[in-house]
Amino acid sequence: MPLSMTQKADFVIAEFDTELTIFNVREAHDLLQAGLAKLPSRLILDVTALQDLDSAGLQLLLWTLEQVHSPAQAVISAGDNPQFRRLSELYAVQWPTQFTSQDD
Amino acid sequence: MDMTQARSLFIDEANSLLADMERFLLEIEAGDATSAQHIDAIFRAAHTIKGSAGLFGFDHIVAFTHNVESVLDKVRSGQLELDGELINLMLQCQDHTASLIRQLEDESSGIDLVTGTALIKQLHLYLDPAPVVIVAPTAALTHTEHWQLDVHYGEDVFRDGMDPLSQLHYLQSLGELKQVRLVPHWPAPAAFDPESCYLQLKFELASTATKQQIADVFEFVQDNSKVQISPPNQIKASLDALPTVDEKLGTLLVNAGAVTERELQSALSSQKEHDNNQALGQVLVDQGAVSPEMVAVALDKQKATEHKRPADFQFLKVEARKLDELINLVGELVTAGAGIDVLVQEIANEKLKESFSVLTGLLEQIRDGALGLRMVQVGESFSRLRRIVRDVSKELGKDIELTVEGADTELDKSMVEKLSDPLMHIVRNALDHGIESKELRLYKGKPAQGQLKLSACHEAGSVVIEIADDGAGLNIERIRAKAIEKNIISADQELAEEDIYKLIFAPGFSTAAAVTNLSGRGVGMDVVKRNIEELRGQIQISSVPDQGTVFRIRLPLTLAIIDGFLVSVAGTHLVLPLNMVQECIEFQMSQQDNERNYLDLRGEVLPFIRLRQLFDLAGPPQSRENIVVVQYGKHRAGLVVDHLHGELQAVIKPLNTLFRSLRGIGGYTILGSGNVGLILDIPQLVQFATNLENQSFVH
Amino acid sequence: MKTILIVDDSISIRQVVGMTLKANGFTVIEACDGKDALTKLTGQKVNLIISDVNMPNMDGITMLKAVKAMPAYRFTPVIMLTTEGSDQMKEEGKAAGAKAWVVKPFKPEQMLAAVNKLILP
Repeated sequence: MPLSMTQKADFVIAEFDTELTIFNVREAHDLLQAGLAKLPSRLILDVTALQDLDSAGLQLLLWTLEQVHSPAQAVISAGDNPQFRRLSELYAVQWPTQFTSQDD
Repeated sequence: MDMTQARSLFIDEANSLLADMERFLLEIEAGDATSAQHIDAIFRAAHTIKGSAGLFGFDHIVAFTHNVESVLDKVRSGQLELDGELINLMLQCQDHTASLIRQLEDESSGIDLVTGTALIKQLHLYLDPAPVVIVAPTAALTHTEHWQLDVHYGEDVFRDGMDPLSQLHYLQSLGELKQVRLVPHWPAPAAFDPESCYLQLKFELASTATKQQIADVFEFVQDNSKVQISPPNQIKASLDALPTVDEKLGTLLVNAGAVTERELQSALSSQKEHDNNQALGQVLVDQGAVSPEMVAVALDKQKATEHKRPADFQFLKVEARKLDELINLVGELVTAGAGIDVLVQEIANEKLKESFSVLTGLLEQIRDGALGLRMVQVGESFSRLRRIVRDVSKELGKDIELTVEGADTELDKSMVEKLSDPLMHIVRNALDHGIESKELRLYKGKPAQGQLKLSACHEAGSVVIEIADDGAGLNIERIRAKAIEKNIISADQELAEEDIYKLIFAPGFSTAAAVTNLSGRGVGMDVVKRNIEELRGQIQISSVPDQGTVFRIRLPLTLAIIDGFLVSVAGTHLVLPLNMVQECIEFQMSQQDNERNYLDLRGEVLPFIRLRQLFDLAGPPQSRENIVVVQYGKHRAGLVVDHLHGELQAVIKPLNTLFRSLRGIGGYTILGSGNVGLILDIPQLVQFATNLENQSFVH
Repeated sequence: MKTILIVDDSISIRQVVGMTLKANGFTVIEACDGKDALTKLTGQKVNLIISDVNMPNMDGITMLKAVKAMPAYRFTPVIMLTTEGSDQMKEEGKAAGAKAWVVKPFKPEQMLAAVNKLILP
């Protein structure tokens, strides 16, 4: 299992395992779609544990964020994951990390 | 015509000027000539080299010759004497300038700054203390722009085991990544396949790597991805810096690192595939491999190589004297041919006639070919002006667009050479004083960009060169005031508008306030006019306030041999240049009032001249006369003659100086019969007729 | 740490390539032919395969087809070692799933460059 999903109130947290690569993006995608189908108002993609991430994995994260439409929100939680940070820097990708106030 | 060609022209010109300078200096030193006799020519050599060198940005030559020129100027104005010591110094300067010119041809030899500096110091002993200008040749500009990369990854990239990240990472070993932008091209939600790649990467790379090296990073993904790499401007510089060798456009671009071998191959095969005639450069541009500017630079380079290569094979340097001899001989041949023609007509043998007509045909071809040898395109002069316009407009902070028309119009080589200075001055004047500053133009409601147009065309047997600007136009009042101030005209003199314009050609009249690199020092518009008159040309000015000024230079096609039209008046044979003859009509005295000298030609007033009267030829007018309608420029006139004899080839021989003052006769030729035919100076006659007509209206 | 499998019947090639890659932070596994390679692949994770084509027992192309059929290696990048002028070999390799190649004879840096264009160290 590339990730595990937990639902708390209107939050859905997708907690990724150590690998998100071309080898498991399909499986991860299917799981994420199932989570999104529940129409959570807030989605947290927790990548703190990821060690093996490639562009296919990164693309899936981007795509997933893209699927969450306002007023629902999605953020990435990376903690202090050096591997994740390195890739994000290479691609110069800015991830949403905090929910903005719903009143905005 | 490109810069390289122009540059070799400059080198030729400078060398010949330097040779003159040397010869004159030696003559003065040997006592064969006085300083006064040659100082102008010596000064002009330095002046011209300085001016032309400025065009090409050879600042070190400008700086050096400026010093030489300044000292010579003092000699010219009598403040200095050209004594043995100074001649010696001038000869050394001449040597040094020659070495600077040689260095342009052979860049491997360095510039002898030591000698130059020492000479400048010596020159300054003759001058008032003024800042010494020594400019080392500027190094090629290096732009620090970056490579632009745009990689649109194919869908299979991930499945093929490729990771764009590794390429980005790899590129970091070649340089610095900047402005990375990851642009996903998402499909419709239902169509999203997580294993497919939808990514596009755009970024800049600051790197000294070649395009090949950069493209190689993508060698494994380029089969199914679109990789676009645009070189930084710097490559243009390195393209420029490439040694000029015999190479094809593609190879040039590849060598410069602007295009990869693969891109070239793909462009070549696309060219083949579509069997189109599209230029390789265009195909490469269309493929996004390279920018159009880059192709332009490479093409220039290639032209330069094309030019350089055939110089050894396709051009022969022939002594002008030999050429002139050949043309003379061809002239004699034409005359001899005309003699035989008369005999052939007398003998009236069909076979003889037939074979002689073949010979005549060949003769005409030889004539045209021989004359063509001296013809060069006027564009040679124009292309030097491009640089002037560019540099001067920059210097003056004006935005000026130069358009050139008819650069391929051909003129005798000696004329093109002598034209280059006058053109330079007129253009410089238009830039300096004609076209207004941007602010002023905008204030006047004109476009900020000024227009300067150079054009050349054939018009009724002459070549017309126009320099037109859309500037302020000539200020009649100012010119008048200045002319009065300079004692060129008296304060109470009434002058027509056109005559006022002509004042700017008067010696001593110069509106230029500043002594600039090109104009200044009194080598001004009077010289322009003189140069053009030496070419038997005319210069006209028309100007409209706030709309611009047009300088029209009309030059004869100085051909030594012309197609002529033979007529006779009272047994005197007269030849008209055929290309100025418009038509011939019968002239009936009875229809004309004897006093009038104009007639109604299909509703148009046509002034005419009775050549019998003009040349005071004996005999009463024939009962049936003919009128030949000739045109010169915009004016037409009729010439009344007795008989029309038809076309002939006429070798123009100059009149002896004794007869130079004769009006209306430009030269003579020997006819086939052995008689002398006088060649009519149509421009003069037309002018004469036009004036007559005007006078008759006044009366 | 990424792991690279190098498959070649020439021990000197394996040695030199192995040394270069190890020096650049990769873990290297060696195999002397296709059959050996398939064995080595089972039970561990390999991030990249470098393989010769002409080898005894099982040639590179056959091995490659087998590797691409293994779920754990279906997307693993493969670098084929081809010989100069053998475009056919290259095309065969590409069809079998080796989208990258290095032409023999090559210098160690060339191999390292090819690897770096495919995977992050």
